[in-house]
Amino acid sequence: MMKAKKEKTKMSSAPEGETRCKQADDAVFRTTPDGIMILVPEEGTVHLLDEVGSRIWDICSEPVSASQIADVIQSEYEVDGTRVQRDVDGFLQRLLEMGALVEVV
Amino acid sequence: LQFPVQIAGFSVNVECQDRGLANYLSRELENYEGGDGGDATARISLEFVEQNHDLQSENSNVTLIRHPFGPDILLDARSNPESLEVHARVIGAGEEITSYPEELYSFLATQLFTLLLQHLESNGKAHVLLVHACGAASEGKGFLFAGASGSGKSTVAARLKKMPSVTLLGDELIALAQHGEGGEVQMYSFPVVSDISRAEISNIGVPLEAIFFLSPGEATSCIRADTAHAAADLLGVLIPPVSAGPADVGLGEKQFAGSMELLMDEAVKLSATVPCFHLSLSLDDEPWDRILHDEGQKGENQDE
Repeated sequence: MMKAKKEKTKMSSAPEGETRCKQADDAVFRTTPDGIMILVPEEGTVHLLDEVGSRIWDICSEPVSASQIADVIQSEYEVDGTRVQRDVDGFLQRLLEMGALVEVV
Repeated sequence: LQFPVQIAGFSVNVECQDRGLANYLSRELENYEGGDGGDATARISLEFVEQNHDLQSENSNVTLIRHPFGPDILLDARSNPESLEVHARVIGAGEEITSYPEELYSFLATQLFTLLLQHLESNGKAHVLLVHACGAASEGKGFLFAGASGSGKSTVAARLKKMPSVTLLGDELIALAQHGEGGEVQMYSFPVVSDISRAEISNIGVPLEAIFFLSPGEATSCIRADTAHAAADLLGVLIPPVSAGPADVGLGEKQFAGSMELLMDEAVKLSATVPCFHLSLSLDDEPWDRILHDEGQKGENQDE
């Protein structure tokens, strides 16, 4: 598992024109000491987020772009930037499909 | 007919006006008889109606249940401070029904007991949950072996009942009750069994020591589950509350989400309170001494 640095990174501002997303108002989720559970009513399933996924979910409490999230994760977990961006894009896409995140204009 | 029974640590007076259902209940509740009926009264009546004359829309307490193995049932359940009143109307749909099958009595009994737990909860008697699980007690400690149908609950029950040190509480549904905020979670037998006979279970209450999520495996392994995975697995085995509204088949998406939200809260709380394990069980192994003693101990130590 990737180790996070102790301090949380301050968010950079979103590049102009980049789509931002945030937690859907009707998203149903619960926090446990080991991660976050998100309910997908349409599928009748629950998705578990690991430590990094839970951190991204936390960041998405406010409108935020994929590159802003990737910057935070790269900084906090000291991982390769290209891979982080790809992983964050895929993760956000999945949560958007589930209806847990919504795009913000 | 009326008789007092002990369910989930409560003494309940059960009253039934239908002779067939009453006979079924008194037989099924043989192990549960006792007490003074002082905690609640549960009344159930049964009536045949030729058609569903829109009874459902007249009354928000009525739920239409499309019973998969028999006629549809309109269940009218009212929880008053003094008593739980359940009135079941069996819908004939043009056909006269002269006798009811055993499955219908079994289904109604399960509904009645489930509603009874909710009634006790809504009257502040205790916080009660139902879990799909086999339950066993050993040395005064309770162990849940939880899983969906086909996960091995009955297999575990069949093997545990051979152990002299183990008392079986059930192989299908187990009640969990918390008496008072922050109190110990007690597990109790619930009067619904699958493959074992009534005579093989004991109606006792023991503190819940550990929860094992069952899965079949090539080799036996028992791994401590983190709280997130434990909560997610609990969601799959906790019984959702019976729909109180005029729902038709199943729950609508909003009701489902509301019901699941309540269960998510329960699952998160329970996973943080009780040590949970993923138990993969090979049919060739008899790992019970290790599981009921060492793993329980491990749970205790990790919690300290």
